[in-house]
Amino acid sequence: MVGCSNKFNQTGSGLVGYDSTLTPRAFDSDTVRVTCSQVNIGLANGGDTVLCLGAVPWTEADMLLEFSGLDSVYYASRILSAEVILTRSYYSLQPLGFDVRNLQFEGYALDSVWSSGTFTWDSVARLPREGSNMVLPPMFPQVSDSAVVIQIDTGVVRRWGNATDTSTHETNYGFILKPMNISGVVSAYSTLYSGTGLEPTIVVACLINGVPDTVTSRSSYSSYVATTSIAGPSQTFTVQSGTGYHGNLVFDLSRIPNYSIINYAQLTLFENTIDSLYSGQSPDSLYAYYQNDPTTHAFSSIYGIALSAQDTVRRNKYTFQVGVLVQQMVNLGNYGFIVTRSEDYNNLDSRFIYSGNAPDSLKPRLTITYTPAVKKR
Amino acid sequence: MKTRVLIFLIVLSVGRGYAQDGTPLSAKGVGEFSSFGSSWSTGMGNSGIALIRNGFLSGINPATWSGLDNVQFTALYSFSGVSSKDNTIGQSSYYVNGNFGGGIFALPIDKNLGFTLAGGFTPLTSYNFTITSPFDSTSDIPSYVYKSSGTGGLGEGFVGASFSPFHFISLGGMFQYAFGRIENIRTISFNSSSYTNTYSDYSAYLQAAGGTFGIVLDSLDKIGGYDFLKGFSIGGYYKLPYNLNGTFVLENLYADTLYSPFSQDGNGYIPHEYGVGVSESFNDHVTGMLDVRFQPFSKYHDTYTPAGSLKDALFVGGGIEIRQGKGFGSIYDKRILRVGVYYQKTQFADSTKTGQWKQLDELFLTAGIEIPMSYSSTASLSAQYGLRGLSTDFLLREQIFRLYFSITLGEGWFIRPEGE
Repeated sequence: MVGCSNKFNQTGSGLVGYDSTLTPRAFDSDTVRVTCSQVNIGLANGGDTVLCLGAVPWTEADMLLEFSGLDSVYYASRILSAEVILTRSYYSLQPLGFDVRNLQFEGYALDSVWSSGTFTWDSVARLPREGSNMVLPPMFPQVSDSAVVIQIDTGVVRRWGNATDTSTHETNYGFILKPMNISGVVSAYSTLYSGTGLEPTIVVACLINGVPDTVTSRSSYSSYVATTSIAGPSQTFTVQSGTGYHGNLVFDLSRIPNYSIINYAQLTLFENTIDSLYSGQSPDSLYAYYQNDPTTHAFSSIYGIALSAQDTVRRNKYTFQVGVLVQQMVNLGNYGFIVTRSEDYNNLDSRFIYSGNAPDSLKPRLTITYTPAVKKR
Repeated sequence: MKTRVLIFLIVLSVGRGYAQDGTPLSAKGVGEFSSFGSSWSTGMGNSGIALIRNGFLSGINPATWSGLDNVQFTALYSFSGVSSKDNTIGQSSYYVNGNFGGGIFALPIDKNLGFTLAGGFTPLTSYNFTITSPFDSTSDIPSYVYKSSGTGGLGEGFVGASFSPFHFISLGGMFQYAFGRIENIRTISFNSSSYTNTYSDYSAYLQAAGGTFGIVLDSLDKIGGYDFLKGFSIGGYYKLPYNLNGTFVLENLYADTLYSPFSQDGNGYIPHEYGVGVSESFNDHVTGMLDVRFQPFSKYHDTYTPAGSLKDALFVGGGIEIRQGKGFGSIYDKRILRVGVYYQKTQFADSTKTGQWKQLDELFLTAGIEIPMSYSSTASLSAQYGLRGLSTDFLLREQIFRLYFSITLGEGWFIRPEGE
């Protein structure tokens, strides 16, 4: 069949009628319910490039390190000192309003194998460890704008060196550093920066065969784990980096038939900027994902991802193009959006986003254009 | 002959068996229905229910196969041009079609008993239209262009037989199987790059078994000695309804490339059809035919088309053929000329200018010529021109021109040579 016409062919349209399911329709969340809740998946940050250590109100980040390459220490007749050097990835000495130079740490040698790929805050807390603090008094690390230097117990380092000889029955499972006060968070380059000179380093001063020597190892296995009990201001939910603390927004999409084609969808969020905890070290943006599993709160960019920077005019406003995400909700199940900070790992910054019980001008808004396209009539 | 038949069968097997015209009217149900009479019929107002004649291969009344003398095969190819004018908006559209219009193979086994086996494939419906319309923007939605196009249709395969228990009566029956796919592709193209366009493919895969029974009373003058009945025959047929079943499949193209076809079982009902016809051979050169057919399409329904969406169809058609050059000279001096006319209240309804929905009717003039290619094979060319929507009050009116070309091949596979 060949339709030959040099203009829009509406012939018969009045007779046949347009399929009512093929008429684009508008959806505005103004008239539907939106449920906002907190989701805390508890991050395992072993694969990240930055390590966090410190504490801010309701939030704590612990660091785990395990150095290898300490064979020479085994032959040292005496260990004079040992220090761990972390190169900071963010130079501000007063992020989030705290002075990180006041940070105090405690550290404990671990007695068990750990894997950052699977651990959680709780599982790390259960790791067997030695009872004595291996961070030397007064436990104030030397924090400059470029590095954190922590003096540690030489006896622990001796045991790590001995572990290179299995006949000694000593072990080296590394150690955990924990903040002792709420004085901000430092971010440092992880082992993934190996070979750059920025990776975690241990420097051991010792005597070998009576001669002063220095053993340096840049070979380590590193990670950090964080937890939070943060509660944002009223009428908000929180999205926080470093802790897996995300927001879950579920709009009532029951008016949109299954298998509808989503032609356009825009999500708009507003932030409580007064109370947000923002260090300024990460991009000022949020991500929205499709939550594909309501039980585990799993999400993945394979289901689509939407990025929004702060609105350049109205600074507390975020606008996302979420057509692909809403399509997932219509086709696979409406488990809502997961909202995260764009940098979900490298710091402990928090954003407080107005939720569904905020005033209309501030609550989340979802506008959709869709084509039902479900059946022919 | 056998080789030629095989060639034709191969050619037909690669074609799609959907005929008739492109029209937005066909968007209802499973499309525009058609009945394949024969290449003979197309020149004579689509009539031929009661015609028993060698060379006349009809897909409507199987009883007429008793008149065949030798093995025959006929195939039809059709072209049609349709001009649809929508008076609502003052626009016209034009459709041009070229389609295989059906083919039948017949094998006479016993001429005295009128026992003939036949089979073939003919079109049943045609789903063929394109509608494209622009829409202005609103406060919520940018401007867009809507396009809906339909393709496909149902075809019928059949096998059957005819039989004459007495010299004046012929009976026939055939098993029919209808099947096919109708596909409706609908798109919405937004005039905004930030919008994802809509693409929705809606297809119905349907099939059903059916059957047709027919009868022709011929040579009635020999029963009671009524000479005025010489050359007169009367026939009729009844076609069983089709109870369609199959699958309706919706395939949308989503922005995220999710492929989520939605499929559900479906069904449909094509009502029964019946008709009666007469033919009269006035002399050796002139034959006339007249048919009346009826099909209560108001009972048609399918999963998404409620009963009452279509209208009861009534067909009245007839024609005259004139044989020239019979009985003398070369075979190439012979020819058959045909003319006819038919009127039909169609299955379609249309809105009038006053907003009423009325049944569309149509009137066609037909003409054709058949010329021999050998002693048993002929070629036919026929044309039909007509109007659909005779009243100027209809909002949609169509002018339709059809051209049919067919070849009928014959050979005496089972005819015993003289003196044997």
